[in-house]
Amino acid sequence: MSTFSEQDVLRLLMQSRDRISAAAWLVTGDTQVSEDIFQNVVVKALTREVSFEVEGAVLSWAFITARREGIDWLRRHGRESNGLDPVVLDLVSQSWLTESARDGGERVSALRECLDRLPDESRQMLRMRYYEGYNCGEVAETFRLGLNAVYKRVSRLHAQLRQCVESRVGRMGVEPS
Amino acid sequence: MTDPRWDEQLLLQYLDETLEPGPRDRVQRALQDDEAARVALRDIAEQAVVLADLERTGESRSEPSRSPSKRGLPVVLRRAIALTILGVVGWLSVTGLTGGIETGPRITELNGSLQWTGSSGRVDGDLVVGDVLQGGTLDSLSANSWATLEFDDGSRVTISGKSSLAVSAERRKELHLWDGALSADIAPQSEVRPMVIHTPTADLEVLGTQLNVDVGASSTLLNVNEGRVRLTRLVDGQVVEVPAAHQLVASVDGNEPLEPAPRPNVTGKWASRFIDDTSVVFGKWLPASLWLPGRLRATPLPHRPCGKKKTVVLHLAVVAVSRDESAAVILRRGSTIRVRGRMDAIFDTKIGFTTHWPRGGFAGKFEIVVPAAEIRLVDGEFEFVLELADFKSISKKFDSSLTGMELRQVWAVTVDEPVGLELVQVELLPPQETVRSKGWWQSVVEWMEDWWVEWASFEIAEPATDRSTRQDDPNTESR
Repeated sequence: MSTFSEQDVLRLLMQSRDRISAAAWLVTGDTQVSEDIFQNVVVKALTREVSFEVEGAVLSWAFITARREGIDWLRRHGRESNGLDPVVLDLVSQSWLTESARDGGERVSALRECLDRLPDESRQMLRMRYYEGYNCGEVAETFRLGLNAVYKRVSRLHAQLRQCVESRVGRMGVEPS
Repeated sequence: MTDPRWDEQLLLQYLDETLEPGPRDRVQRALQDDEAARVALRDIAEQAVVLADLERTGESRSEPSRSPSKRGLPVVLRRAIALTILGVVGWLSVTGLTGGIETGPRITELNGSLQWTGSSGRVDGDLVVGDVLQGGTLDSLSANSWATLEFDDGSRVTISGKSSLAVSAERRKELHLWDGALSADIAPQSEVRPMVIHTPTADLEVLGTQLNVDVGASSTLLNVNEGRVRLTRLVDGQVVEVPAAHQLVASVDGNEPLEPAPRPNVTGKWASRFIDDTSVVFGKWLPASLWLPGRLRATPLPHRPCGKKKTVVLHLAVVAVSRDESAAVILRRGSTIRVRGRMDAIFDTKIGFTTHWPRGGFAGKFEIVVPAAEIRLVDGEFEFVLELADFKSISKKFDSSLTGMELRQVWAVTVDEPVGLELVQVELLPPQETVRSKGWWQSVVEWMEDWWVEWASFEIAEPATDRSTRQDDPNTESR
């Protein structure tokens, strides 16, 4: 059976970059750390001696490694876990693994377009929460809103983005308000 | 289409750990049983990282985040506030109260194949001296490559051989050595904010010291030459302070004792043992068979030398001298390196080694080419006996005098040709008695050099007290 070359592995990992980073985010809750973890996964994939024979093996290894690195990071920062059940993490990783790289890529591409069409204030709220790492309480303070109102708005934004992505992937053309 | 009835708010609160026990258990159960809940969780995660990626890579169409509560302030007032803050930060910096505004480390020396991957994913293989590294991973890709980084406070960190070092974007003094070898000469640090070096098996807090770290697949070997390092073993969270002239191995096995041991004595003799893969830095370890002993087979490694467009393929085998040794292996005048191995076809072969100064710190790489015309194969086996004096320094920076240096790694490599190179045994042999049968003056010089080696080994066991008088600083050494 032929094995994947370094270039094949690199291409596959880059196609699945957002999903692998997302798996790390579910553990760490920090988008910057998740990006670092993804890079470490790539380095490890290219320097390890074991070869991969199927696409699924590369991605399965990558998701497991990303999660382990996330757990290591939590431990280094004095936390045992983020509260997410390992079984749940397994099931979510499975849903990423069962999706082909092409389908996942299309969904992420649609998501980028949807994010770019968000109203400024909505985008700013998500930026503070996920890029700048503020918790919802701090976001609420900044926007002079109640905590519950921020949770409502952020959750509504997530739901709208999901609908937007599904619509775009299904070529229905619905955009977030 | 996923179930639109799933409540994302509950999920967000669950992730933030702000739910009461009852609702938290319900979400937990839903995530296990309800695919719609998991899809919603997956989408939140994807949306978070893609948004962060858009912001990070500058694809954001809007300006950086600003507090809405400050939007209403007049422009003049905002500028006045900004100038005041700048002034205060500048004053604090001058007076040393903030420790200065830190930037990333700067490359001061480099050699061989190196690659920088920034946090945006951009890869740069054309690094030059003076480049400032901020948030990303520096990879030293081949046996003969290394890079030295210098921080604002004068702390210096060198990685060499196959190594991977991540530099934090936020905390400039936070490093992650994922693999390979690091030598650090750290200026005194603030106790509340020490330099931190993470490895896969340990965290090292450094307050100002000279240390060497070797990271393998499942262990970290720490050698403290000066100062003191606080090590946390990740597998069980056990913390131990490692004093000067001591070493410690932190592995993934939490049952192993975690006690610093005095830095061992020196030896001028060493032989590799390929009974397992403990000493393998790069290459594929092959166990003993009926006809052949355990050995290390060279494996391919794409390599693009700095400034060159063409990528070559190295077939490389690297063995660690220090990883499983209880004594520091020291080079002496007249020592020889004997390499026994196998190859399927005769081809130019490079043999090289990495050295450290007697009291720590990277001291250069040296190599020699054994031309194909000088290689004799007997039943596919070769033997090279190489005088230390014949090895050339890869960089002009490092003097070619090797007496007293510590041998750390030895490698063998062929370029582009996969000739089935295998190392069966590598040895450092002490000087032959015949080497001494020279003129009386030469004998005196050699005796003094040997005395210096012994003196250096004595110093290894004693904590240094005055950093300013160190003899082993590559920048001040004039040997």
